[in-house]
Parts: sequence; structure tokens; C-alpha cells
Amino acid sequence: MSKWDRPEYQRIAHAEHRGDEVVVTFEDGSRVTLRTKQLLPKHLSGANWSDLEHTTFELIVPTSAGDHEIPWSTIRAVSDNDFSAHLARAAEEEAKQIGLRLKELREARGISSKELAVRAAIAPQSLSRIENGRHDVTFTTLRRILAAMGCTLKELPTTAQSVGTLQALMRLLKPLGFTKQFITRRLIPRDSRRGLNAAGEESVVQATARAISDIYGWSVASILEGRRLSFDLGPMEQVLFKGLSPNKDIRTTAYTLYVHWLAVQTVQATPRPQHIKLSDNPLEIRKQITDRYGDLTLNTLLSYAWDSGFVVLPLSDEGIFHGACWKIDDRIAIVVKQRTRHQARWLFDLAHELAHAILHITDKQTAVLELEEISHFPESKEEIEASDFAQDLIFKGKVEDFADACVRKAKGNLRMLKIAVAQVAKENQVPVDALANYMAYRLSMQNENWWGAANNMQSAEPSPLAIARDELQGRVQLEKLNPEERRILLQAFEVEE
Amino acid sequence: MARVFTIGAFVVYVYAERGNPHKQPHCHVNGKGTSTVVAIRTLTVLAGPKLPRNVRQALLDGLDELIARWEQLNPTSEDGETE
Repeated sequence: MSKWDRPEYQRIAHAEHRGDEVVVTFEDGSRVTLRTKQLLPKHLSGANWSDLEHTTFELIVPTSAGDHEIPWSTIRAVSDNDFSAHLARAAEEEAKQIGLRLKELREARGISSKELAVRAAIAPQSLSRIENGRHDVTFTTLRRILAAMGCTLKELPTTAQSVGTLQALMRLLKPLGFTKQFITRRLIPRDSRRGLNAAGEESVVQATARAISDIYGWSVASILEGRRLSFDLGPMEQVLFKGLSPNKDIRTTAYTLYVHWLAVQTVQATPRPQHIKLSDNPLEIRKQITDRYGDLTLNTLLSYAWDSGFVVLPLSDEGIFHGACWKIDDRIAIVVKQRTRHQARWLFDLAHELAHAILHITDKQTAVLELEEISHFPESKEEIEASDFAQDLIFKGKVEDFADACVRKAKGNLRMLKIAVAQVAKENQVPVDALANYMAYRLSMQNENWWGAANNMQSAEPSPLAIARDELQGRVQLEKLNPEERRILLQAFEVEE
Repeated sequence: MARVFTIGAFVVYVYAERGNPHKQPHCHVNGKGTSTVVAIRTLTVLAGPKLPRNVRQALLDGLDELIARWEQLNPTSEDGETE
């Protein structure tokens, strides 16, 4: 319950007039002082403030036009920034809700937006702004739009909330590809999830609906009323899925839109670096990294990526896709998504996505989404280029030379390979865990399973997700996001307990 | 001046305000010791306790009257700003 829902916040205990000010004391003990001219509409004159009276919920001021009443909410709205911000947010939400409702009524009648604009005698751009909730609208305009569809203002208000439980919310969202796990881990506010009983399920549902509204653009009311929801991808479809496998399904859409939203928030909250000319040569990049930061590791590659103006989001959710790059607002956001705790795997995936960001993302191609697992030996042209780039970056362009050296040192004996890999990695100053992975991949092409040994050579502490998350938190100005956006973003990096 | 109608124990008020501090057309529904602020266009509760179903329905039934009173007390220009 917010403070403005409590009677003691609303109820006036005392009010008095002092000079050109009014001092109001509420039952919660708070006292506010306001200038009298803040409270009277301009057209009213002849106010006799010395005869000020009050009831429980309003001030009463005699004027030449009769008594003028000022409700508690006006006094609070002009004196309490929190309440004023709440009203502003509610007004935004209302504009969105009205826009969606108008669109819903129009579409249900099979009227195009162009036709409705003509019928209502308003500019098509104005109608579009209203339907998108970007323009507050007067009753006059609303009546005109509604009348053009044979409707009245009575068709705007919402019906009663029908989604009152988390189970009902999950049922509503399931056909849209939202899994229970995704909703629970990423959308339901963590604090309320822990104290579900204390918070009350309905308020948890409302908080979750607000998060979903922020991400997917549906109004909170349309979610809580259980209306039929659908993704309005429009041009976004090209941005998010361009040139990718046709096997995308609705679950991919729901999750991808969520991750894209995270990427947008991160880009918007990250300071733009000075223009940096990036090399597209992995060997040059490697040299820059080792000169600037030391040995090539996940930490140093992350530092290079962020310092070069990229934004790197680390995620550990299961399935859907394995990595992504998006061009957002002239920046590139890289998503690395891995379940494993092995740093070498994260290093390779980051180098692979960095390659896409440098080699493939352009003004025309603004997205890469990895629906297949990222591999050392991929099949498509772009994937081969990205994996070759990553190998050259990590192994100085000599991965096959190092692999041959390992085989020679082990004298073709798999039992000796572990020691050989460690020696070759040390002699050539390349990451031993990454070289072990490469050898395991290479052997798997020859039907030899060397993964057990390779896994024993992996570094898993500190966790790569934590490394990448800490880097992000050090780079992003979280205060630029509102509390809800910040909460959703930080919850994206949590690991299930 | 502000009272519009009553619904059982509830009284509905619309006020003239200066400078649009609520940022949207709204009314107050005051009951015994309670006050709920409701957005007129969508009947969304902005502050205070939720309204009983019959009170909400009565607001919907009386919507034309509420809007007429709001427009009378808070004349608007086309950009939606109150005077």
C-alpha cells in the first residue's frame, strides 16, 4: 500500500492562514506550507483567506463567487514530490491505456487508422500519437474519435481486474511464450517473491504487470483485465530477427524482446565514449589488449569491449538463443548467454560476438541472433568468419599450429595430451582452458571424446557471469534508469538459488 | 459547487483546480473516513482504497455528468492543458 492510499496521509487535522501562506497539518503529522496563489484557479477572485475552514478532506475558502473547495490531493500534489511523480506516471499509463483501447475498438470494427482519422477529422499523425499513448487528449477530441467508430466515452473505462493471482497471470501469458520460469526469475520483483504473503499476491501481480508493461508496451490495465495480448512487432521484427533461422517461435519472440529491452536500457544508461577507430584485425586487437590491460582473459576482453564503446550484457538463462548483437542508437550491444561456469567458453563467445559486432553489424544489418550454439567449427559464412576471428584473437592466429604442437608433444597419445596442452599454452602465452576446449572440439570431429580432460582444465572461479556483471555495473550509470527499469535490469543477472 | 452526486454512503466530488497538478481529469469519491481519487476517463484509482463494484458501476453510469462537471470547472484548451 502506498502512503497516498492511507487515510492519515489524506485527512486534514488542522489548517490555518498566515500572511500569504496556508499551513496544513495532516493526520500523519506532516505539515505543509503553501502560497495561497498556488491553490486558487486563476478565474477566482476575492478570496477571503482569513475565513479559511477545513473538513476532513478539503479546505474551504470563501470567494466573491462563493465557497471554493481545495481537496487534500491538490495540497499533496503541489507539496509532495513522490505523490506528484506518482500522478505523472499514472497519467502516462492512462494515455497509453486510452490509446490501446481506441486502437482495440478501431481494429474490432475493421477500420484503418487512416480512415478513422478522416472520419474524426483529425490529422493521421495525431491519431497515431494518441493510439501510441504519446499525446494527452481532450474530451472533445476523444468524443470525436469515439463517435467516428459509433462509440461513446463510456467505452473507455476498464472493466474489473480479472487477473488477480500469479497463476492467472501465467495462464494469460503462456500462449505468448512466457514460461513460468522466465516470469518467476526475471519479471516478478524478487523482494515480493520472497515475501509473497506479506506483500499480498494482488500487489505482486500488479508489480509484475507494471514490469511487463514497461518491457512489452501493453498497458497495465490490459494485462490485469486479462485482455487478449499480442506482440506488436512491426518494424521491430526486422531489427530483432533479420536474416535468421525461420524456426523462430513465439517463445523466442517473448524472450528476445525482453533481452532487447535490457540492451536498450543498458545502452541508454552508459556514457558514450569518445569516437574510437576500431581495428577489424583480431591480431591487432589482441596486441592492443595485451599492451593496455595485460594477458588476454575474459576480464581484459571485457574491458577492451566496454572501452571501445560496446555494451556487454551477460545472461545465463536456458535455451532460446546463445548470443546476440544489436545496433541501438548508434551503439552496439553484445549479449553473451551461457549456462556454463567455464571462463574459456565465455571468452570464446564474447570474442565471437565481438567479431559479429565489428565485421557484420552495419546500418543495413542491425542484428545478429545466435539461435544455434556457438561453435569452433560452424557452417554459415558469417559464423565461420566470427569463429575464425575469435580463434585468431585468442590464439594469436596460430590455433592449428598450437594444436599440432600439442599432438606432437603428446606423441599422439590422448593420455599425454593434458600435459602437452598445458605446456603449449604456457610456452605461447595463450589461455590453457581455451586451448583445451579447442582440442576437445577438434578431437570430437574425429569421434574422439576428450571433453572430460578438457573440462578438468577449466577455470570456473570467479564465475564468468559475476565477472561480466560486475564490469557492467561498473560501467552503467544505474541512476539514469528509473527504479523499475533498474530492478528489471539487475534481476536479469541473478543466478537461481 | 464540487459535489456531483451520491452513491449510497459515498459522495462524488469534482473540483476546479489550478495548474493541473493531478495531470488528468479526476474525481474524488469520499466515504466514511475514506477518500479515493479516480481518473475519470478510465476509472483507474489514483489514490486511496479500491471502490466497491457497485460504486464503480455508478461512476460509469454517471460518466456524462462527471465529464460535464469536469469540463465546466476545468475548461481545457486543445492541447489538454487546464487553464
